[in-house]
Amino acid sequence: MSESRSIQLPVIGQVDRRTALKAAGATLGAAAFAKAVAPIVEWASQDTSASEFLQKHFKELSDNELTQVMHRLEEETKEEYGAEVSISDTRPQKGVKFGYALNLSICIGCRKCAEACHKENNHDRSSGNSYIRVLEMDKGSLDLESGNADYDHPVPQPDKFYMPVQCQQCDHPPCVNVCPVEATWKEDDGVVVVDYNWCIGCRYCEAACPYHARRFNWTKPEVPAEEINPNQGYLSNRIRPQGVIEKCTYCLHRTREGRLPACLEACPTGARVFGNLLDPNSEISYVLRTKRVFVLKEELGTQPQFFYFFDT
Amino acid sequence: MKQSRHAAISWGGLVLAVLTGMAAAVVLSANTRSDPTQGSVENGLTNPPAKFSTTIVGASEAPGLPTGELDVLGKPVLANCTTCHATREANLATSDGNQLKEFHQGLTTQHGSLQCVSCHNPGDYSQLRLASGESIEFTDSIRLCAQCHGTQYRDYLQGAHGGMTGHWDLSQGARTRNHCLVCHDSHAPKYQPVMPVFHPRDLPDVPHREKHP
Repeated sequence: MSESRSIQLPVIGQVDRRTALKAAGATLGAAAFAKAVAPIVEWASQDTSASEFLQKHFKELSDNELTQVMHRLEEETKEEYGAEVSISDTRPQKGVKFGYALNLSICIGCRKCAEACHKENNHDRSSGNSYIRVLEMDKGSLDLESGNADYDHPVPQPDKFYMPVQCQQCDHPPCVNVCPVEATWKEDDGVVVVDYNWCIGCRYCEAACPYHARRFNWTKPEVPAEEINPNQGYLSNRIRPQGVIEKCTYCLHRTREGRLPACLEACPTGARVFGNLLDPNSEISYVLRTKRVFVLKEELGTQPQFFYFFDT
Repeated sequence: MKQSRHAAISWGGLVLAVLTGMAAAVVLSANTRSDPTQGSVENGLTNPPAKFSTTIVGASEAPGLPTGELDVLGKPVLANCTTCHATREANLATSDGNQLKEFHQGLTTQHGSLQCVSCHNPGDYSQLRLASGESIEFTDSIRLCAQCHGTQYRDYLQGAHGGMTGHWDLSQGARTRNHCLVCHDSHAPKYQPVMPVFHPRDLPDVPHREKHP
């Protein structure tokens, strides 16, 4: 015993067995804790700024706070993607409710709309994402389940018609009802939007949508800097983070400034009609008044604001 | 202490009263203000006046026959239709370019049972002719199409037929619309088949998908 007593640690000095064990335990504990929280520290320091982590819900942000958030997102886009972009939030216009109609007699199924959507909305290039899916359908049937999106031959085929499907901007949107954190809602002009920074990525909305209109960002979207559309909206086409849901917004960053949606401008046949449902003189009002329009899955009571019709 | 608190409360009340008054004044002025740029208000709906115009693109000029010569600007010199047609009597029965011995070969007509002179003016081939006999310019050909395709013309006038770009809201910006001839060749007006672009890569439940994520 006396021999062991005589061994002294150079710094700590005289240490008994109990103290040494305590110190060893504390060191191990601290190391284990550091190891355990390392992923969180790493995540917080690298991918998420403190201000993003503390960011409030879109509807609770003051104008000043929203401006700061959008400025931060512009900076992040520059840092991560090398592109100068402008992110804004144009509010709905008073007296405007958007409606969309699609003439199935004219659509030829060329998928130019899906391509335009892909480019306009800064979709991930590798997954070829788009908010529009074009179904090739047998003439005489409206069975969506037999619709084929996987066609690759000259169009239109004589025995087929073509039905592009995108978000129907329902008046009773089931996707909004199921969101556990209210990260998605319907705006005054009828557009159902997502606060990408509030979404927790549970994908309940994706499951609830009867039109398969929502898309999930499985990976961080990759878009080359020169292909990024710099005209971006906070609630629409800004580059989404990984792990959140996204959807068609009727190109609200364009349409709330009076412009036509990208998919309509890209349509080579003029099958698409867009406008203000509340204006009796609008093109869309003319279609609803004079054509035999129908909506998809009417029996579900979702009340889509996207209408289909055949020429009469 | 107590007095200063009282003073603070009364000051606060005064400030509140002033603020309320200002807010009321703003609301009242907003209600009474009439802004001519905001358009008319009818049944609670704002109808902004159209400030911007709609332009129709794709109308064709009177055609001509390339002579093989180039002008000083490098553009091909075209021979006017009347160069030949002024001295020849029109064959009213011709309905296809391939029926002719000179020129027009390869011009196949797939447009109902029309003859050339159903649209072209045999009295003046630099112009078109309506069924009424009225002669019209080539650039005015929408009127010619509209004679038979009335339902399409009706929808076109209402903005529900034909491609367009620009603004849905003409109070905020201009619009460009396609002429009939952008999509429809006058001699074979049926929209020609195309190969689809942008094949989807995110399809579930298709038998030959490449790989599961």
